[in-house]
Amino acid sequence: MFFDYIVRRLLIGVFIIFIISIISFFIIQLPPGDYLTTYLAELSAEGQRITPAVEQRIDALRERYGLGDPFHVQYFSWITGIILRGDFGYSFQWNSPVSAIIWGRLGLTLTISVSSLFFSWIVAFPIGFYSAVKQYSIPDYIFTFFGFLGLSIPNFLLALVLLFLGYQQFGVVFSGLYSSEFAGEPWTREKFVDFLRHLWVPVIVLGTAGTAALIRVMRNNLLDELQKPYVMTARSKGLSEFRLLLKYPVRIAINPFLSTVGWMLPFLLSGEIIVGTVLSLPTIGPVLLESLLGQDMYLAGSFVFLLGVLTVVGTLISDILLALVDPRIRYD
Amino acid sequence: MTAAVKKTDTKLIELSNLHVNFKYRQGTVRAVKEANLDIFSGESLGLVGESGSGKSVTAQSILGIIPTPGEIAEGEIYYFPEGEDGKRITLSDLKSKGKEFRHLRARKFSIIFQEPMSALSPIHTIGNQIIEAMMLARSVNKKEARNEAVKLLRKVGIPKAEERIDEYTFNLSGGMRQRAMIAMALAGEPEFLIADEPTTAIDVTIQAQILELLENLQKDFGMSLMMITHDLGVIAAVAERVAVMYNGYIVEKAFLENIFNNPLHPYTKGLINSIPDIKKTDRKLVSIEGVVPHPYARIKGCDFRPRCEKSIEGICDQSFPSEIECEKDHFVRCYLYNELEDDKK
Ligand SMILES: Nc1ncnc2c1ncn2[C@@H]1O[C@H](COP(=O)(O)OP(=O)(O)OP(=O)(O)O)[C@@H](O)[C@H]1O
Ligand SMILES: [Mg+2]
Repeated sequence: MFFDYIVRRLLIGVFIIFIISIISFFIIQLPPGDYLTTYLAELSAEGQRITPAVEQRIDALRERYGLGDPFHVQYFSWITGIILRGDFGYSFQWNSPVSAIIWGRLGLTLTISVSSLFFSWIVAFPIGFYSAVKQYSIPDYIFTFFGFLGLSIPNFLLALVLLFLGYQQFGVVFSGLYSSEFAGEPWTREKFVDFLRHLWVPVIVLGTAGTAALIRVMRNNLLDELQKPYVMTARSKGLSEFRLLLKYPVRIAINPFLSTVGWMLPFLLSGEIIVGTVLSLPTIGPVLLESLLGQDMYLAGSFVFLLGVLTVVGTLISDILLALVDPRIRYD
Repeated sequence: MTAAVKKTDTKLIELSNLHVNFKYRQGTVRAVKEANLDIFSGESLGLVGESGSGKSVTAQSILGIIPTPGEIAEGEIYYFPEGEDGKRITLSDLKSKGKEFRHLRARKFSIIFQEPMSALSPIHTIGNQIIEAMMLARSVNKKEARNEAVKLLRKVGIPKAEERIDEYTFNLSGGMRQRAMIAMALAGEPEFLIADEPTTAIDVTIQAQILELLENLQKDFGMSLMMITHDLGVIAAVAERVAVMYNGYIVEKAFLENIFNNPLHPYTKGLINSIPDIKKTDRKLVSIEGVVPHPYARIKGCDFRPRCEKSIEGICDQSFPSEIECEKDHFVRCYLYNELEDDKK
């Protein structure tokens, strides 16, 4: 039964990824023209003469990537390239294959987002638990207050404030993910330690709003569950209060909490794009923005597509976790 | 009459002037008021009354599981452990979540709730929940507890118990669920079992089976049983003694025969009269004029006065009548009756 459930989810996931790939390819083709026309326009705007050599090169590129072809032909060659050869196309801006640009950056983006997710969970779980069990206590009110504060401050503002405070108070620049001497270096133990030292800033910036939301989710779910008759049943058995809370209401209240991966991940990924730009991190944020502005279609399309895939995978993971902890879903 | 002998039996639980309140900002709900009640070893007591009359809260207060913000505002609950002559534990003084009270709940007291679907955890197997109760009550390891649990499931009439033990509640029928709940309540071989409307949520055709099962188990285990219901048919089938609750007060207490043949309180009379034929009915108590007062309402005088045809002006609107023994072992709280003279008691 559990196996059926997972297979069903997987099939749905694959189907959704397929749809996402079409939509992301469609969206980046929406603006009129393509990278090459933008590029030519830029050249002439800068007052450069368009030599036959340039024109020839551009024609060759247009030919090679089939930019003049109809949508479905372009899409088909793009997607088969990805599936068969891991070839995501070519970035005109970077003059290099897309796959050479994206993986490292996507990895960092994912690291930051997943770290933020765990950060949110680890902070929100005990606070939500406490707030529910001691509803209307003074700490509950305090947590609620800071929770709403955290929810309502936009990411980028928090990032800017941290940047400002860090620089003004400590003379430290909180941007980037490693110190300048490590840029472009291969990963070593020293670089990794340095990386961890930088990681907390974007993690906190990104995680704050989600943490606040999760505290509300945990608190409200647990409050609901605490009213349920099975809690009284457990008490009537003489189970100690703490063990009882963890075994029954918390186990059940945790389900919606786990399913938050589904919406937290896209939320964090898109947040990371903004925060990454503000903090100038070597993640996909700044690059995605540029590629969208410059109609660097394969680069932008691949990012959009992969972000979509990550979201689907996140949802899939949360579905499987849910089914593991809740037999009602497994048997559905 | 065997029932009369019971009175001389040993007392197991005693409620003395018990008040239970739920305090809210909007006001205080006085769920149980001035309740005096004895429960004897091995007897089965029926607690009957309309919805909201305080039956469940009375039960919860004995077990120390009143939900917040409810609390015992006044009065005492005593427990006299079986086989420990003269020992008396004041339950109302114990911390309800403390070790001593928890041990009593694990080993001596049990409760069966109305809706097994919501009273059992939806994400644990029934076996898991029964084994847990077993291990809290006795010093057995998990394997022994499981064997015992299978036996217990068989005893409560669950076929293929060794397979069913690993089922979740949502895979069982209502009747089977309630049987599992009963098995769980029996895991600690309790001295005192409360059944809080155990058949209300169950298919009518299965209700009689469950009641019979409970009756047999009560005899087998030698437990005291408190049967809470608003169904006089259930009372007639199971109870030896009856207490009638109205709006938080216990308004009448007597042996079953006396309640049915000689009801004294106008409310009890109303209940009995609303049943055309006791023998073949299991009708709900709906047909008394008027409604139960609002939980926050404070009524001057007798709480039943607004619905009572016999209320006497200048008397019934002054204060709530105190408890009088009107015939032997028959108590009522009503101004229409006089105390039995001492020598006849
Ligand atoms: N958790 C609670 N919070 C507030 N008030 C409560 C709570 N539980 C019970 N009460 C109140 O206490 C009073 C008695 O309730 P109780 O549940 O004991 O009634 P009952 O006789 O068991 O009724 P039913 O037949 O519907 O089960 C009611 O007025 C009810 O509103
Ligand atoms: Mg009740």
